[in-house]
Amino acid sequence: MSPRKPLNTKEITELLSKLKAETPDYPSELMAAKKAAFLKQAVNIKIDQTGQGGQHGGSGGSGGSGAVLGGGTVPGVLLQALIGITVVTALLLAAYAYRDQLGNGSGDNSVVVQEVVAISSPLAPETVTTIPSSITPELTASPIIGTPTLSVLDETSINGASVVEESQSDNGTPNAINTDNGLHLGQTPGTPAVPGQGNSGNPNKPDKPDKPDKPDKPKKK
Amino acid sequence: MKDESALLNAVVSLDQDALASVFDEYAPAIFKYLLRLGIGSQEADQITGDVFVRLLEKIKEGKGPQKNLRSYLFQTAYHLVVDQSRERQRITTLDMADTVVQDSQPVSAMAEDKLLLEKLAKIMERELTEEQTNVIVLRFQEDFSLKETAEIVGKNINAVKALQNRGINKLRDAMSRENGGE
Repeated sequence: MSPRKPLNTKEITELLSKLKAETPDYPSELMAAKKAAFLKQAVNIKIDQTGQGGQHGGSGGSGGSGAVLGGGTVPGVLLQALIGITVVTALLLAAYAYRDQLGNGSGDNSVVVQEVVAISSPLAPETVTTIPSSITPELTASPIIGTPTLSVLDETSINGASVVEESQSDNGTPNAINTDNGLHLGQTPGTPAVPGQGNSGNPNKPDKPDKPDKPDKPKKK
Repeated sequence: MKDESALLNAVVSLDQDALASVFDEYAPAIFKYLLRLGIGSQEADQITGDVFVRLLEKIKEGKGPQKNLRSYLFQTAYHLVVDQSRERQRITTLDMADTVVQDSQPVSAMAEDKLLLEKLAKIMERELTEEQTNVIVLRFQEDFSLKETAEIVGKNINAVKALQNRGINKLRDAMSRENGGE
Protein backbone atom coordinates (compact mmCIF):
# COMPACT_ATOMS: atom_id res chain seq x y z
CA MET A 1 0.00 0.00 0.00
CA SER A 2 1.44 3.32 -1.05
CA PRO A 3 1.75 6.09 1.51
CA ARG A 4 -1.17 8.47 1.43
CA LYS A 5 -0.96 12.19 1.45
CA PRO A 6 -1.58 13.89 4.82
CA LEU A 7 -5.23 14.40 5.68
CA ASN A 8 -6.54 17.89 6.06
CA THR A 9 -8.94 19.11 8.71
CA LYS A 10 -12.02 18.65 6.56
CA GLU A 11 -11.16 15.04 5.85
CA ILE A 12 -10.64 14.39 9.53
CA THR A 13 -14.06 15.79 10.39
CA GLU A 14 -15.64 13.74 7.65
CA LEU A 15 -14.02 10.62 9.04
CA LEU A 16 -15.31 11.52 12.46
CA SER A 17 -18.82 11.79 11.06
CA LYS A 18 -18.46 8.42 9.40
CA LEU A 19 -17.21 6.94 12.66
CA LYS A 20 -20.48 8.06 14.21
CA ALA A 21 -22.42 5.59 12.14
CA GLU A 22 -20.24 2.74 13.25
CA THR A 23 -21.20 2.89 16.89
CA PRO A 24 -23.38 -0.04 17.97
CA ASP A 25 -26.92 0.54 19.12
CA TYR A 26 -28.23 0.32 22.65
CA PRO A 27 -29.16 -3.35 23.21
CA SER A 28 -32.95 -3.49 23.33
CA GLU A 29 -33.16 -5.72 26.43
CA LEU A 30 -30.89 -3.43 28.44
CA MET A 31 -32.80 -0.41 27.27
CA ALA A 32 -36.17 -1.93 28.13
CA ALA A 33 -35.01 -2.76 31.65
CA LYS A 34 -33.69 0.74 32.22
CA LYS A 35 -36.84 2.27 30.82
CA ALA A 36 -39.07 0.23 33.12
CA ALA A 37 -37.02 1.23 36.15
CA PHE A 38 -37.08 4.86 35.07
CA LEU A 39 -40.85 4.97 34.65
CA LYS A 40 -41.41 3.14 37.92
CA GLN A 41 -39.31 5.67 39.78
CA ALA A 42 -41.19 8.50 38.13
CA VAL A 43 -44.48 7.02 39.34
CA ASN A 44 -43.11 6.77 42.88
CA ILE A 45 -41.98 10.37 42.85
CA LYS A 46 -45.35 11.49 41.58
CA ILE A 47 -47.11 9.51 44.32
CA ASP A 48 -44.85 11.14 46.90
CA GLN A 49 -45.64 14.57 45.55
CA THR A 50 -49.38 14.02 45.55
CA GLY A 51 -49.12 12.49 49.02
CA GLN A 52 -47.75 15.76 50.30
CA GLY A 53 -51.09 17.42 49.71
CA GLY A 54 -50.27 18.83 46.33
CA GLN A 55 -47.74 21.23 47.70
CA HIS A 56 -45.71 21.18 44.56
CA GLY A 57 -46.57 23.70 42.01
CA GLY A 58 -44.93 24.48 38.76
CA SER A 59 -47.89 23.58 36.63
CA GLY A 60 -50.02 26.04 34.83
CA GLY A 61 -47.84 26.14 31.77
CA SER A 62 -45.54 28.85 33.00
CA GLY A 63 -42.34 27.04 32.29
CA GLY A 64 -42.73 24.27 34.81
CA SER A 65 -40.46 25.51 37.49
CA GLY A 66 -41.69 22.94 39.97
CA ALA A 67 -41.28 25.36 42.84
CA VAL A 68 -42.89 24.57 46.12
CA LEU A 69 -45.72 26.84 47.02
CA GLY A 70 -44.94 29.06 49.94
CA GLY A 71 -41.28 28.38 49.51
CA GLY A 72 -40.31 28.90 45.95
CA THR A 73 -42.76 31.51 44.76
CA VAL A 74 -42.11 35.18 45.31
CA PRO A 75 -45.30 35.85 47.35
CA GLY A 76 -44.55 32.80 49.45
CA VAL A 77 -41.05 33.99 50.24
CA LEU A 78 -42.34 37.45 51.10
CA LEU A 79 -45.03 35.97 53.33
CA GLN A 80 -42.51 33.82 55.16
CA ALA A 81 -40.21 36.79 55.65
CA LEU A 82 -43.07 38.92 56.97
CA ILE A 83 -44.14 36.25 59.46
CA GLY A 84 -40.58 35.82 60.62
CA ILE A 85 -40.08 39.55 61.17
CA THR A 86 -43.38 39.78 63.07
CA VAL A 87 -42.49 36.94 65.40
CA VAL A 88 -39.04 38.34 66.14
CA THR A 89 -40.48 41.81 66.81
CA ALA A 90 -43.09 40.41 69.19
CA LEU A 91 -40.44 38.49 71.09
CA LEU A 92 -38.24 41.56 71.40
CA LEU A 93 -41.15 43.69 72.66
CA ALA A 94 -42.10 41.07 75.23
CA ALA A 95 -38.51 40.83 76.41
CA TYR A 96 -38.35 44.62 76.78
CA ALA A 97 -41.63 44.80 78.68
CA TYR A 98 -40.62 42.10 81.13
CA ARG A 99 -36.98 43.02 81.37
CA ASP A 100 -37.16 43.56 85.16
CA GLN A 101 -38.66 40.17 85.80
CA LEU A 102 -36.20 38.60 83.49
CA GLY A 103 -33.35 40.34 85.31
CA ASN A 104 -34.54 39.29 88.78
CA GLY A 105 -35.35 35.85 87.76
CA SER A 106 -31.93 35.30 86.41
CA GLY A 107 -30.20 36.54 89.63
CA ASP A 108 -31.84 34.12 92.04
CA ASN A 109 -28.65 32.52 93.20
CA SER A 110 -29.16 32.92 96.99
CA VAL A 111 -27.68 30.18 99.09
CA VAL A 112 -30.07 28.37 101.32
CA VAL A 113 -28.57 28.13 104.78
CA GLN A 114 -29.90 25.33 106.80
CA GLU A 115 -30.53 26.18 110.42
CA VAL A 116 -28.76 23.81 112.71
CA VAL A 117 -30.54 23.04 115.95
CA ALA A 118 -28.48 21.39 118.61
CA ILE A 119 -29.72 20.05 121.86
CA SER A 120 -27.17 20.92 124.50
CA SER A 121 -28.59 18.79 127.18
CA PRO A 122 -31.43 16.46 127.53
CA LEU A 123 -32.78 18.58 130.33
CA ALA A 124 -33.81 21.61 128.50
CA PRO A 125 -33.80 21.56 124.80
CA GLU A 126 -32.38 24.77 123.57
CA THR A 127 -32.23 26.27 120.24
CA VAL A 128 -28.73 27.15 119.21
CA THR A 129 -28.68 30.16 117.08
CA THR A 130 -25.73 31.49 115.32
CA ILE A 131 -24.23 34.53 116.89
CA PRO A 132 -23.31 37.14 114.40
CA SER A 133 -19.60 37.44 114.04
CA SER A 134 -19.76 41.17 114.70
CA ILE A 135 -20.82 40.58 118.28
CA THR A 136 -18.08 39.63 120.68
CA PRO A 137 -19.29 37.05 123.09
CA GLU A 138 -19.11 38.31 126.63
CA LEU A 139 -18.50 35.82 129.26
CA THR A 140 -20.32 36.23 132.49
CA ALA A 141 -20.01 34.07 135.45
CA SER A 142 -22.28 33.78 138.30
CA PRO A 143 -20.57 34.72 141.50
CA ILE A 144 -20.07 31.98 143.92
CA ILE A 145 -20.21 33.38 147.30
CA GLY A 146 -19.32 31.55 150.30
CA THR A 147 -18.40 28.01 150.68
CA PRO A 148 -20.03 25.78 148.29
CA THR A 149 -22.49 23.66 149.92
CA LEU A 150 -23.30 20.26 148.96
CA SER A 151 -26.85 19.94 148.19
CA VAL A 152 -28.23 16.83 146.89
CA LEU A 153 -31.30 17.00 145.03
CA ASP A 154 -33.20 14.11 144.06
CA GLU A 155 -34.17 13.90 140.58
CA THR A 156 -36.92 16.31 140.50
CA SER A 157 -38.97 17.02 137.63
CA ILE A 158 -39.20 20.67 137.02
CA ASN A 159 -41.16 21.70 134.09
CA GLY A 160 -40.65 18.33 132.61
CA ALA A 161 -36.86 18.54 132.84
CA SER A 162 -34.87 16.33 135.10
CA VAL A 163 -32.30 17.90 137.37
CA VAL A 164 -29.20 15.99 138.13
CA GLU A 165 -27.81 16.22 141.61
CA GLU A 166 -24.83 18.38 142.14
CA SER A 167 -21.63 16.80 143.17
CA GLN A 168 -18.51 18.05 144.78
CA SER A 169 -15.02 17.05 144.12
CA ASP A 170 -12.64 15.73 146.67
CA ASN A 171 -10.83 18.97 147.02
CA GLY A 172 -13.91 20.81 147.86
CA THR A 173 -14.36 22.58 144.58
CA PRO A 174 -17.60 22.14 142.93
CA ASN A 175 -17.58 20.26 139.74
CA ALA A 176 -18.78 22.40 137.02
CA ILE A 177 -21.31 20.20 135.59
CA ASN A 178 -22.81 21.97 132.75
CA THR A 179 -26.29 21.94 133.96
CA ASP A 180 -26.67 25.65 134.00
CA ASN A 181 -29.81 26.21 132.19
CA GLY A 182 -30.18 29.68 133.61
CA LEU A 183 -32.66 28.73 136.24
CA HIS A 184 -30.18 28.54 139.13
CA LEU A 185 -32.60 26.52 141.05
CA GLY A 186 -31.73 25.97 144.66
CA GLN A 187 -29.01 28.59 144.71
CA THR A 188 -28.86 31.55 146.91
CA PRO A 189 -29.12 34.70 144.92
CA GLY A 190 -25.94 36.69 144.88
CA THR A 191 -25.55 39.75 147.03
CA PRO A 192 -25.16 43.05 145.38
CA ALA A 193 -21.64 44.12 144.71
CA VAL A 194 -20.07 46.07 147.45
CA PRO A 195 -16.94 48.07 146.91
CA GLY A 196 -13.96 46.58 148.59
CA GLN A 197 -15.22 43.09 148.49
CA GLY A 198 -13.37 41.85 145.52
CA ASN A 199 -15.35 43.20 142.72
CA SER A 200 -13.88 46.69 142.84
CA GLY A 201 -17.21 48.20 143.22
CA ASN A 202 -18.22 47.24 139.77
CA PRO A 203 -21.34 45.25 140.04
CA ASN A 204 -20.88 43.98 136.53
CA LYS A 205 -17.37 42.79 137.11
CA PRO A 206 -17.35 39.27 138.25
CA ASP A 207 -15.85 38.67 141.62
CA LYS A 208 -12.85 36.57 141.98
CA PRO A 209 -13.73 33.20 143.14
CA ASP A 210 -12.89 32.59 146.71
CA LYS A 211 -9.88 30.60 147.34
CA PRO A 212 -10.54 27.33 148.95
CA ASP A 213 -9.88 27.20 152.55
CA LYS A 214 -6.42 26.28 153.40
CA PRO A 215 -5.99 23.64 155.93
CA ASP A 216 -5.23 25.05 159.27
CA LYS A 217 -1.62 25.13 160.11
CA PRO A 218 -0.76 23.72 163.42
CA LYS A 219 -0.01 26.45 165.77
CA LYS A 220 3.53 26.73 166.98
CA LYS A 221 3.76 26.35 170.46
CA MET B 1 -39.47 24.86 19.54
CA LYS B 2 -43.01 24.87 20.81
CA ASP B 3 -42.99 21.10 20.88
CA GLU B 4 -39.79 21.16 22.90
CA SER B 5 -41.36 23.52 25.42
CA ALA B 6 -44.49 21.40 25.69
CA LEU B 7 -42.40 18.29 26.10
CA LEU B 8 -40.38 19.94 28.86
CA ASN B 9 -43.54 20.90 30.69
CA ALA B 10 -44.85 17.38 30.42
CA VAL B 11 -41.57 15.93 31.63
CA VAL B 12 -41.45 18.26 34.62
CA SER B 13 -45.03 17.26 35.41
CA LEU B 14 -43.81 13.63 35.37
CA ASP B 15 -46.19 12.71 32.61
CA GLN B 16 -45.61 9.02 31.90
CA ASP B 17 -46.02 9.27 28.14
CA ALA B 18 -43.67 12.21 27.91
CA LEU B 19 -41.07 10.49 30.04
CA ALA B 20 -41.29 7.32 27.97
CA SER B 21 -40.94 9.33 24.80
CA VAL B 22 -37.90 11.17 26.12
CA PHE B 23 -36.27 7.92 27.18
CA ASP B 24 -36.86 6.29 23.81
CA GLU B 25 -35.42 9.26 22.00
CA TYR B 26 -32.38 10.10 24.10
CA ALA B 27 -31.29 6.94 25.87
CA PRO B 28 -29.81 5.33 22.72
CA ALA B 29 -28.05 8.59 21.82
CA ILE B 30 -26.52 8.88 25.25
CA PHE B 31 -25.50 5.24 25.20
CA LYS B 32 -23.71 5.76 21.88
CA TYR B 33 -22.10 8.96 23.11
CA LEU B 34 -20.66 7.06 26.03
CA LEU B 35 -19.36 4.33 23.77
CA ARG B 36 -17.70 6.96 21.58
CA LEU B 37 -15.91 8.30 24.62
CA GLY B 38 -14.35 4.88 25.02
CA ILE B 39 -16.58 3.63 27.79
CA GLY B 40 -17.53 -0.05 27.86
CA SER B 41 -21.06 -1.10 26.99
CA GLN B 42 -21.86 -2.32 30.50
CA GLU B 43 -20.70 0.89 32.09
CA ALA B 44 -22.41 2.90 29.38
CA ASP B 45 -25.66 1.15 30.16
CA GLN B 46 -25.23 1.95 33.83
CA ILE B 47 -24.44 5.59 33.21
CA THR B 48 -27.35 5.94 30.81
CA GLY B 49 -29.70 4.73 33.52
CA ASP B 50 -28.08 7.11 35.99
CA VAL B 51 -28.65 10.03 33.65
CA PHE B 52 -32.40 9.50 33.72
CA VAL B 53 -32.45 8.85 37.45
CA ARG B 54 -30.64 12.15 37.90
CA LEU B 55 -33.26 13.81 35.72
CA LEU B 56 -36.04 12.61 38.03
CA GLU B 57 -34.13 13.72 41.11
CA LYS B 58 -33.68 17.19 39.69
CA ILE B 59 -37.34 17.42 38.77
CA LYS B 60 -38.21 16.39 42.32
CA GLU B 61 -36.00 19.18 43.66
CA GLY B 62 -37.61 21.67 41.33
CA LYS B 63 -34.37 22.03 39.37
CA GLY B 64 -35.34 20.26 36.21
CA PRO B 65 -34.35 21.31 32.72
CA GLN B 66 -35.54 24.73 31.66
CA LYS B 67 -34.68 24.41 27.99
CA ASN B 68 -32.95 22.11 25.53
CA LEU B 69 -33.57 18.75 27.12
CA ARG B 70 -31.07 17.06 24.84
CA SER B 71 -28.20 19.30 25.98
CA TYR B 72 -29.31 18.84 29.56
CA LEU B 73 -29.17 15.05 29.34
CA PHE B 74 -25.80 15.02 27.59
CA GLN B 75 -24.46 17.44 30.15
CA THR B 76 -25.59 15.10 32.92
CA ALA B 77 -23.91 12.20 31.14
CA TYR B 78 -20.73 14.21 30.75
CA HIS B 79 -20.65 15.05 34.47
CA LEU B 80 -21.22 11.43 35.42
CA VAL B 81 -18.36 10.35 33.17
CA VAL B 82 -16.05 12.98 34.63
CA ASP B 83 -17.02 11.97 38.16
CA GLN B 84 -16.37 8.32 37.47
CA SER B 85 -13.05 8.97 35.79
CA ARG B 86 -11.97 10.99 38.78
CA GLU B 87 -12.93 8.26 41.19
CA ARG B 88 -11.02 5.51 39.58
CA GLN B 89 -8.81 4.91 36.67
CA ARG B 90 -10.96 3.85 33.88
CA ILE B 91 -10.13 0.54 32.31
CA THR B 92 -11.06 0.85 28.76
CA THR B 93 -12.96 -2.20 27.81
CA LEU B 94 -14.05 -0.97 24.51
CA ASP B 95 -11.76 -0.89 21.61
CA MET B 96 -13.63 1.27 19.20
CA ALA B 97 -11.74 -0.08 16.26
CA ASP B 98 -12.79 -3.59 17.22
CA THR B 99 -16.33 -2.36 17.56
CA VAL B 100 -16.18 -0.93 14.11
CA VAL B 101 -14.89 -4.16 12.67
CA GLN B 102 -16.88 -6.68 14.67
CA ASP B 103 -20.22 -5.16 15.53
CA SER B 104 -21.31 -3.39 12.47
CA GLN B 105 -19.38 -3.48 9.33
CA PRO B 106 -21.12 -1.10 7.00
CA VAL B 107 -21.65 -2.65 3.66
CA SER B 108 -21.35 0.70 1.93
CA ALA B 109 -18.00 1.56 3.44
CA MET B 110 -15.01 0.85 1.36
CA ALA B 111 -12.21 -1.25 2.76
CA GLU B 112 -9.86 1.68 2.79
CA ASP B 113 -12.30 3.81 4.72
CA LYS B 114 -12.72 1.03 7.22
CA LEU B 115 -9.01 0.97 7.75
CA LEU B 116 -8.97 4.71 8.22
CA LEU B 117 -11.81 4.58 10.70
CA GLU B 118 -10.04 1.94 12.72
CA LYS B 119 -6.93 4.07 12.84
CA LEU B 120 -8.88 7.16 13.72
CA ALA B 121 -10.66 5.44 16.60
CA LYS B 122 -7.39 4.15 18.00
CA ILE B 123 -5.72 7.53 17.69
CA MET B 124 -8.61 9.26 19.42
CA GLU B 125 -8.32 6.90 22.30
CA ARG B 126 -4.56 7.15 22.47
CA GLU B 127 -3.73 10.75 21.65
CA LEU B 128 -6.55 12.96 22.80
CA THR B 129 -7.18 14.17 26.29
CA GLU B 130 -10.52 13.48 27.92
CA GLU B 131 -11.71 17.03 27.31
CA GLN B 132 -10.60 17.00 23.69
CA THR B 133 -12.35 13.69 23.10
CA ASN B 134 -15.52 15.03 24.66
CA VAL B 135 -15.52 18.16 22.55
CA ILE B 136 -14.72 16.28 19.34
CA VAL B 137 -17.44 13.70 19.96
CA LEU B 138 -20.02 16.30 20.91
CA ARG B 139 -19.20 18.54 17.98
CA PHE B 140 -18.68 16.06 15.13
CA GLN B 141 -20.53 12.95 16.19
CA GLU B 142 -23.41 14.27 18.28
CA ASP B 143 -23.73 17.41 16.17
CA PHE B 144 -23.97 19.89 19.01
CA SER B 145 -23.23 23.52 18.26
CA LEU B 146 -20.30 25.33 19.83
CA LYS B 147 -22.62 27.00 22.31
CA GLU B 148 -24.33 23.78 23.28
CA THR B 149 -21.00 22.00 23.63
CA ALA B 150 -19.74 24.82 25.81
CA GLU B 151 -22.77 24.44 28.07
CA ILE B 152 -22.36 20.69 28.32
CA VAL B 153 -18.69 20.71 29.25
CA GLY B 154 -19.02 23.85 31.35
CA LYS B 155 -16.59 26.01 29.44
CA ASN B 156 -16.84 29.13 27.35
CA ILE B 157 -17.02 28.99 23.60
CA ASN B 158 -13.42 30.07 23.03
CA ALA B 159 -12.14 27.32 25.27
CA VAL B 160 -14.26 24.82 23.37
CA LYS B 161 -12.88 26.12 20.09
CA ALA B 162 -9.32 25.75 21.37
CA LEU B 163 -9.98 22.20 22.58
CA GLN B 164 -11.57 21.33 19.26
CA ASN B 165 -8.70 22.73 17.19
CA ARG B 166 -6.02 21.08 19.27
CA GLY B 167 -7.88 17.79 19.06
CA ILE B 168 -8.31 17.95 15.30
CA ASN B 169 -4.64 18.88 14.82
CA LYS B 170 -3.55 15.97 16.94
CA LEU B 171 -5.72 13.59 14.97
CA ARG B 172 -4.48 14.96 11.69
CA ASP B 173 -0.82 14.73 12.67
CA ALA B 174 -1.23 11.25 14.07
CA MET B 175 -3.12 10.04 11.01
CA SER B 176 -0.39 11.47 8.82
CA ARG B 177 2.24 9.66 10.82
CA GLU B 178 0.29 6.41 10.66
CA ASN B 179 -0.13 6.74 6.95
CA GLY B 180 3.55 7.49 6.55
CA GLY B 181 2.87 10.85 5.08
CA GLU B 182 5.51 12.57 7.22
